[in-house]
Amino acid sequence: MKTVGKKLLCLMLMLCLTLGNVPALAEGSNDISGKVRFCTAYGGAAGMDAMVAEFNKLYPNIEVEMIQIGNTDAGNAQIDTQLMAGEIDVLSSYTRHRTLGRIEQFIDLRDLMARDNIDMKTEWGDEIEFEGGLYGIPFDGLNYFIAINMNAWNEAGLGELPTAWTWDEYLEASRKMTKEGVFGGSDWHNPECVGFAVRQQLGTDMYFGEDGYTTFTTEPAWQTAIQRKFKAEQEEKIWKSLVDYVGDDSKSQNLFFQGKVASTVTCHIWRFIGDLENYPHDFQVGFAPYPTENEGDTAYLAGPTKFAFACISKQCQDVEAAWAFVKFISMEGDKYLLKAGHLPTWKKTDLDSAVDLVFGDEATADKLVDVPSFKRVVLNIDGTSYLDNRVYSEFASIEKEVMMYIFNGEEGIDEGLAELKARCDEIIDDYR
Amino acid sequence: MAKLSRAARREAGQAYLFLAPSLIIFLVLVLMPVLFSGYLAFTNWNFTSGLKGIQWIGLKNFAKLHTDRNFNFALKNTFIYTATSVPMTLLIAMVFAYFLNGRVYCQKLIRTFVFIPYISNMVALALLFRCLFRSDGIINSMLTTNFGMEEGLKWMSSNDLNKIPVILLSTWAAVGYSMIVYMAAMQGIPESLYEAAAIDGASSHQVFWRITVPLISPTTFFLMIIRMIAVFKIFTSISVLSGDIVARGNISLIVKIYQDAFGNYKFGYASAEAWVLFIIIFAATLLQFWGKKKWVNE
Repeated sequence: MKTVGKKLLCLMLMLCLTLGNVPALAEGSNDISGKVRFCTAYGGAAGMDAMVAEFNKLYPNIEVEMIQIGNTDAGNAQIDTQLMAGEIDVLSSYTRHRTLGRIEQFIDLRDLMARDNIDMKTEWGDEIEFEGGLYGIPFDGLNYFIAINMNAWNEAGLGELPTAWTWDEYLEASRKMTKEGVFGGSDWHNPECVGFAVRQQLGTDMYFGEDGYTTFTTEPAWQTAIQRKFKAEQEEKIWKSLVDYVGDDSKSQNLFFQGKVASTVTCHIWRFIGDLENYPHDFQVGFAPYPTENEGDTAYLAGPTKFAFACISKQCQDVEAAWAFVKFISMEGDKYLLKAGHLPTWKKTDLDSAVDLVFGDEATADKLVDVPSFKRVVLNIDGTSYLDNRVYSEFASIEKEVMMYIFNGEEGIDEGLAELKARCDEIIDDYR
Repeated sequence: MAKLSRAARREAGQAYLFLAPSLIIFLVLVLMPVLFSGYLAFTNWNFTSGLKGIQWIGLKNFAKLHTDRNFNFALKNTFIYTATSVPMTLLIAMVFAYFLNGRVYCQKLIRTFVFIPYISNMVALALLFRCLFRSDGIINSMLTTNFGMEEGLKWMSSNDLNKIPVILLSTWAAVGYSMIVYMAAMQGIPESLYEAAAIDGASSHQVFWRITVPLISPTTFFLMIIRMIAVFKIFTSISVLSGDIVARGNISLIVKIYQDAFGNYKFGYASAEAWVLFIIIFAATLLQFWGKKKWVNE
């Protein structure tokens, strides 16, 4: 009896210790009430309404007000103004929470995470502190891949969709799919696409060398990516030209659905595939990974890079309500990002229902996409990704500007890369 | 000064009461921001850090302008826009006004069509031009089909050509208003002068250049000033035509200021640029007034 009693006591102690360490997940509560004003670029139809409805089942007394603001210069100015005016409680932040001079707008979430036993590395795979604080929880991921018109692919006799391939192999496929009025391939429609190819090769902190300055002139990946693009777009003309994309203000996904490009680099095209009213097309879409330079190279764009983070404004009135919402959208609620063409970043996301969530059901999905490649390539949440430790928001606009000078032929590649280095290094010095 | 009577004081008080709303709006929305911007021009401030984050740095912002390549491109482009768009607008408007002032078939219809761009939204006009000047747009189609060019021109992406759509758009949007003002001025010219010229055997060419143009020179002066100020502040057309990618071929000073302020959050530096623009516009206007004596008939 004494032994049984001891065993029972041990069992109870173990239970208490275990349950006490389980993170406060999806508990729900009628006790927490308040209002949360959530600012994001996605609309209600892009999964946000469903996410909020699910949240309110757990927290019926928390009112969530959605504020949709696009990710543009004007939109970002609006967000900053509204943050300062105390009109936003939770923000979907891209770089603000890791930008000097901006982090003061947000609450350091470390104490709340410690209180609720949430470990960043366990739940999202990365420690994401900045300047000694933790100002955002990842909840939105993006990976990059090639979307393929399966009619064009099969017509060119290219066989099975690859599970991994190099740039040379993708260029060869582009050649075979090119015909009168149709480019076999396409890069992303924005000058930042050169950076994607470099990122795929170098991963985290791709801009910086050991001296802390940029490596545009010393890292061969930049030259390689630019020269390849020149050859494909302007010499062989097997890819739609970046200069025309920018000049015409057109998007790669639009030309893809119009049948003017047979394949394209993309990250969120699956958001549009089911929208046959606005993007009519009569072909199945297949998916292949973003190419690497050499066979066997690590593919840093395969998995979802942490694209957006949920941050709580320092002016938030109902912090507990906001924290409950942030936890939800970055964990169980994360899957609703699939509707917006983005990936969940929470390691425990259940993707079994992902196809149904995005396309309605498997039968519909089968007509629209090659489901095995969709699951393998697009829903690759365990794939390798990257997370920069240093972010300078000014780099993006400088990179876009100078890449256009290079591809316009106004500057040579060496000259352009030297200008990039000079201007970006100046930004680094300004911050120092 | 004589002391005001009670009635006069009351009347003055009432006057100030009526002026108060406009004065308050002027103070709060115009004067104070201008003075604050003058202060900011000597500081480093990224706005999101609040007023406590303002750091005094003296003349560093102005010193940096000299080496800022994009600022220098913007300055050059702004002068080019002014030097091309303003005379083109005035000339075309003058010609339209001269012909539409007489007896012309469908005069009212033509006048309406010429005026419509002025009252249209500049964003809509810029989007229209964006379509016209696409690589597969109407302009390039005409060039390849009717003029035998092999390939269309890169109007929007080439830094040698991307000023042209901006200049054309700016001119087209302003011709209507200038035309109406010119028409009013021409209708004010005494008919007797034209009759006297006809009697003396003056040709229409001589009548236009010796009578019409000099007598509408005050109007020309007025339009030149307001068009010059408007073109110095050109923004919407470039912003819509170029999108979010800076192009040194067509960037203007206001676009540069906007990008530095709301793109890069350098409010101090952007304020310095804005004050340089103000000084340029002020100097150009003073120059115009000085030159007025030489060619304006008053």
